[in-house]
Amino acid sequence: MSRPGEWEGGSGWLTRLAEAEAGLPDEEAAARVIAASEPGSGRVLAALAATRAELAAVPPAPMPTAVAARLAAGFDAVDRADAAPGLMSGDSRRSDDFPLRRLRRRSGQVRRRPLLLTAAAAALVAAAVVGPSTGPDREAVDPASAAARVLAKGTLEVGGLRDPAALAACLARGGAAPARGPLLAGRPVVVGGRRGTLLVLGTGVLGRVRAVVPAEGCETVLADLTTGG
Amino acid sequence: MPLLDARSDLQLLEAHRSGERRAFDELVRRHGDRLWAVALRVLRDPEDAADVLQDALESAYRRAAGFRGEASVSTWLHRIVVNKCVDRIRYDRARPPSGYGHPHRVPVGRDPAEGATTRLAVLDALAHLPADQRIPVVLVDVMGYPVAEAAAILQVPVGTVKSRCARGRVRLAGLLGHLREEGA
Repeated sequence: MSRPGEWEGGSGWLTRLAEAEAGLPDEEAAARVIAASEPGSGRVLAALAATRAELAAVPPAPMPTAVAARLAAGFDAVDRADAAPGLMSGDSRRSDDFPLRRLRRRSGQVRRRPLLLTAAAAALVAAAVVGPSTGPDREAVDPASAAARVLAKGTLEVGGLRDPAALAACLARGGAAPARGPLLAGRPVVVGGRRGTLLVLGTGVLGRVRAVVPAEGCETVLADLTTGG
Repeated sequence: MPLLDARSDLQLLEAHRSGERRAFDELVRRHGDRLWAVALRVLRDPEDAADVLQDALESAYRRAAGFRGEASVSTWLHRIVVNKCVDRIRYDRARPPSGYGHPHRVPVGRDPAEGATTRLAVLDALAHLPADQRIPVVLVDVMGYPVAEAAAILQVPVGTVKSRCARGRVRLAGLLGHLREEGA
């Protein structure tokens, strides 16, 4: 906990009130400052609360698969440089890199690594290996494996369903549960001989995603599975 | 390949230091989404965030031997990402404006009737904060990290994080129209 002398500046009642709202200099003193604050402070406190609420409502941002692929390629490049020092010019790494470099060279690990899976993609790939246990889509598109592919490619070809309101209305019309997380990927598919749109949705739980396929026109849902986590 | 690894972050980092190739991948799988979100919310531009994240994680990948264990592995990774973000912000500030991605060119608009637009306005407004306020606000108010964890990531006292968040919120409240008369 900081002492008052450690505050940064502190001029102006607005800043003092905001700092008190943040619990400075300590909870007890902050409560006293707020209680003794000038008329109009209630409006400021409400504004700060509204601001916090808006910040907290910023949606989660899962790492795009393309970024994960870039990371994997970058780690591969480091491994290759470690295995063959001197091939890359301008190597400015510090001496504490050397133990890792020696170990990698000794073990000869220079093969390209598979796609470095984000939590969501890894969950779907796991589901794709097993496949859905039930449902009419077994003979056509496996929603889990299709979802893994669109997630891996970053495909988002869902037409008007990009619009959150249209997406919500479509799910509601098909009798599906509402989306609990962002739309991550999707594309048109055929499931059990019927056209639909595969939607890969976040769930708000790390590593868990939902693959849902509303039929064309949204009158029903052809598949709906949640996996991972 | 097992998709779930029961080892702790520290055990994974030690395995990486011992030359186990997939150990660091598992650390990225565990923490990558949050590290990405921090970089994206601080820098706003996805290309900048991707560059910074790659630079930061390759640095961590190479320099794992430099991890001394004073903080958790998660805190250490976040610290590297945040420091790279600060470097990027300083670099952007030093170079001539080129348009997209520069805070002073970002229009700050707000339509309370439209959720997506409101969120965009929040992200735009964040870009107007100086880095020393923007980063703690992202960590505490957007990402929901405890103040103590943000302080550990930033290597500053808890009170400093609170103060910077408070000042950032005042400014944001003005930018978002909650505190229009007072400005920011």
